[in-house]
Amino acid sequence: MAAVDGFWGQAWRRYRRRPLAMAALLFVVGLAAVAVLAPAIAGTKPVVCRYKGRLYAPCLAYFDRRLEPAIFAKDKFRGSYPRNLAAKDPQSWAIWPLVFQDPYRAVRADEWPGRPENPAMDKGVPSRAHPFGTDQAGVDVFAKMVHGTTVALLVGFVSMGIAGTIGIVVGALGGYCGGWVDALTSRITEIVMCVPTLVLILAIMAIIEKPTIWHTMAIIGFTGWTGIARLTRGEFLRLKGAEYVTAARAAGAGPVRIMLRHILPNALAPILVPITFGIAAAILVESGLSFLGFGSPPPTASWGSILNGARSNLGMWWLVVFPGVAIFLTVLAYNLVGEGLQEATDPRLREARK
Amino acid sequence: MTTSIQPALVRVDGLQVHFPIRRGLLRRQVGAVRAVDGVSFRIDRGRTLGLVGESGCGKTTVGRSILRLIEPTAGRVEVAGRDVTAVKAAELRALRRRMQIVFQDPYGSLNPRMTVRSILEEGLLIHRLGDAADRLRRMQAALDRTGMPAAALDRYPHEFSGGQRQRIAIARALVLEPEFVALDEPISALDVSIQAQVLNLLVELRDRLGLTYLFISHDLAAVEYVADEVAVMYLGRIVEQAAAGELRRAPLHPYTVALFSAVPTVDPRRRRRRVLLPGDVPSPARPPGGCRFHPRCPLAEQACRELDPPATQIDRHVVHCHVAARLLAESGGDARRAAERLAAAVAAADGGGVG
Amino acid sequence: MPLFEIRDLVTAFHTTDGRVPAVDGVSLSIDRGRTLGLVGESGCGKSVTAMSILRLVAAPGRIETGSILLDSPAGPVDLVTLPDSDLRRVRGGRIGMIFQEPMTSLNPVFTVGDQIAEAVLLHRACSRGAARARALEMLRLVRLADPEQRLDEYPHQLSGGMRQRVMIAMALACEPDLVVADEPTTALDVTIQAQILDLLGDLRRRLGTAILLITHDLGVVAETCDEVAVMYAGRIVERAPADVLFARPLHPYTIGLLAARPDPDAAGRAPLRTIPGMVPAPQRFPVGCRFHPRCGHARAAATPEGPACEAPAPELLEVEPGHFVRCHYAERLGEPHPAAVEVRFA
Repeated sequence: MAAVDGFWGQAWRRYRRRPLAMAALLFVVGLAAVAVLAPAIAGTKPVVCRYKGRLYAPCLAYFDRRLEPAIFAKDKFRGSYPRNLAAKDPQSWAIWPLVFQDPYRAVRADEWPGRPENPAMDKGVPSRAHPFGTDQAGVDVFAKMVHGTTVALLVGFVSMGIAGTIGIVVGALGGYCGGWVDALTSRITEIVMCVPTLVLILAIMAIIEKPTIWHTMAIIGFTGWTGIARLTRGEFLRLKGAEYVTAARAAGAGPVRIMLRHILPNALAPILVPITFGIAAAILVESGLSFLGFGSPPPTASWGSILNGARSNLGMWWLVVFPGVAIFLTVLAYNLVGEGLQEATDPRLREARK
Repeated sequence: MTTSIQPALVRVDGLQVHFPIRRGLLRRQVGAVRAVDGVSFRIDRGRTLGLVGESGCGKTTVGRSILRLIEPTAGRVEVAGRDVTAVKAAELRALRRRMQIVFQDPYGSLNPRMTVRSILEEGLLIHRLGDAADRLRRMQAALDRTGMPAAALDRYPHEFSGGQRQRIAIARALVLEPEFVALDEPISALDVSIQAQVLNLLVELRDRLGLTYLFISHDLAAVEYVADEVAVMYLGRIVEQAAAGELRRAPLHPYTVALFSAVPTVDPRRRRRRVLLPGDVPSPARPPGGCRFHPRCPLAEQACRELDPPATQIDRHVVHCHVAARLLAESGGDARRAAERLAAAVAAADGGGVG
Repeated sequence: MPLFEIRDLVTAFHTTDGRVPAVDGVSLSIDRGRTLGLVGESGCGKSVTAMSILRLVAAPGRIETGSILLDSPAGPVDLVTLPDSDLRRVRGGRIGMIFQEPMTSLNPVFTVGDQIAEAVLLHRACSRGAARARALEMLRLVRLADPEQRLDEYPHQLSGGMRQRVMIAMALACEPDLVVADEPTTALDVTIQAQILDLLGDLRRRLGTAILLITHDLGVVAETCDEVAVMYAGRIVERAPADVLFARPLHPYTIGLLAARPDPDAAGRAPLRTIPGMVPAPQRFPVGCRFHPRCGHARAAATPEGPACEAPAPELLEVEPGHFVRCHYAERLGEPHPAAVEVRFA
């Protein structure tokens, strides 16, 4: 017994034994990989290129416009790399994304030597060139979806990161301090609980001049912490009376140390579970908003906004099926991960006490 | 009996701990649970006081109030000359190094997410004792004293059995080199064959390190084995206190008599006529007037229902009972004779007992 | 045929860590109106034995082999193979059960009277009124104060001792032939424990019910039981009439348990005699004699007097009439057991 097998080590061992939960976890990890590698999977900007004697990575522009090397704008590339590179520097070379398609615009005829223009409208049925088809404007759906992965993941993590932080802090203070602090935090929690998230998002989107995906995430985060706060409060209330907490007090430990070192690690597992479910819920909310046209405005690529495109032309079934399946699988995966986490960390399943 | 010249290490005077009962929307206080209601005792350096009683009598609350893990409502608790109830937070923290506690449940008292190393090191870090090498030395010494291998440091509590966990809990108390240790039912959660190991360890540590113990337990035999003096608690009060063997041989309070007689024993020679007390212990939220034991006492008289019995003391044997006081007076202060007469009276009054 | 007999019972739990035999070949029997004490420490299998009797072992636990025979007018029935519908008639009918924790064994949303009446109605064809009358009668029988008033109270309104009386009333309501009491007084204070033990003894005398008393407290057994079986690591290591066992224990484990308690009459503060090591978990029962890693008398190799303790597991042998011991070195009758001598002259 050389290996130090702590609580999380044990939980991981139990989690690994559940094939469905493991598959879901691998799916989520795979999504994260896709999100990070998106510009290398689909795009019209070289991953790496050598131009006029220097190395550049124009694909980073997909993460942030400002990362596009200024030299290409100066040399009037206008976003079209293959021909310009060859024409303006015959010595240049480039490593291209796996799929030469852009998530934000249709690829023009002959942009890639010998390739026709992207089909648009209902001519964009899935084909060899466009496995997921193209939308009304001729944008490749596969490229859109690959880049939309980032949004799907960000929405979940950022909004639940905000919600988790607020929820844990508020719940911990209320549960540990008790008295008027608890009364105050509980009332605040109840008030926030009454705020209708969707209506608030729609209202704010209407007020803000240039609403972005970050606003949506912030609103989901700032209104979605109440359940986590209530759970954290309950856990802190319960663990405050645990004998090892009393033992820590007897050793002279102060409240901050007790909360961070003794209560939080023990409360974390049950709190993580609803956070995981929350991620799934946030993805659904964002998709729904985008579908209705209130979500991330173009040119942000989001799975929900692809769905939105199908509203005007129901014949374009591929605009419903592919993003729909992606949303369904992602939400399912998060729920399975949450369920697996619950099973792996449930105290009733832990080693019997006697 | 040794009369110490030096002041007692632990001195408790008129300790009261009342927990408020709140009801309704406005959380108004409608009453109080008088968990501890006027308890006084002293423990001299290097000695052990046993505190026995049934669940709800307040013995655990007394132990925790001494360390101020529970805020006392009234009274004074002095440890090493400092009034624990009055000191400020910083000084309390410093004092806590000198007084430690071992809990009943070794499954609940060790943080499951921490290794034994971090459990033992925590106190040392809080009190800023020594550098890393010195802390390791202290931790190893504490584990060694409790009969645990140093390899235990990098394990988690769940990898150990109940007895081993209790040794780790004792090591955690000892690593700070305290003078006083409150032992709150330290063997109750353990298997019979393990209890003896831990009792031996506790006695050995006390004798080797000169520790002072408050040994809280409902196990009369274990208390008598460890303690020099024993106090019996009932409903928040100490009803009798005497030297360990003396209490068993000559109990002067009817409750003590019943308590000893109720303990089942394997030795037929030591089997006493069992005194069956009627009913249950009343709620500490509504303690009976007069003597608190009177509703269950086979010898209750009119005075018991009306007057709270004062302390009667013969040598170092203290009892709070009207009947015992009268019998002591009649026996000319001979505790043994008074105890015999009390036992006879209890047996006569309690007709339904089983032999 | 005794009233009740367990033959070679094996109950194992099939966990992810493999097969865990919590009860590994237990045999015992109880005659009508007698009390058998089953003693042992945590993990020895005594509670699993109790749960096996009424087939209440929860998955992943399973009775693998053995029989549990209850004597009936039409000959003994085996509870292990009895169909579920018949078993339900035995549960609470011919065999009553008392659990350790009366708070969790009583349903908090029903009144005490309803719960006892329910137990009666399950096994007897009678009206609700008659069942309620029977409940009242039972509460009187277990000497609960103010029985008429308690009948309409909920479990949380009662103290621990009162709840245990209600549990006893429920267990006895259908006049069972056998009551299985699993640590019935462990959660109670000594003065309340004395009341409950006194009550159990009194009811046994009056109703002639046989009792299987499961406990870790040797004192409780000594004061209430006719016969005692000591369990260690899934097996019975010693079985004898109570007076014989406590006067002349033969198994080193029994001897060790008896010697480990502080003896108030012992002069001075000699260290207590201990059993070294720890109670083995069912996942790691030792091979051979299961007590040998903790036994001061274990022989590593075979000697002229007997085999090694690690290799062949000892059988439960009758060393004197009615006194069974599972130890290679305890069977030499006539000369006292070396360990027993040591304890007596210590």
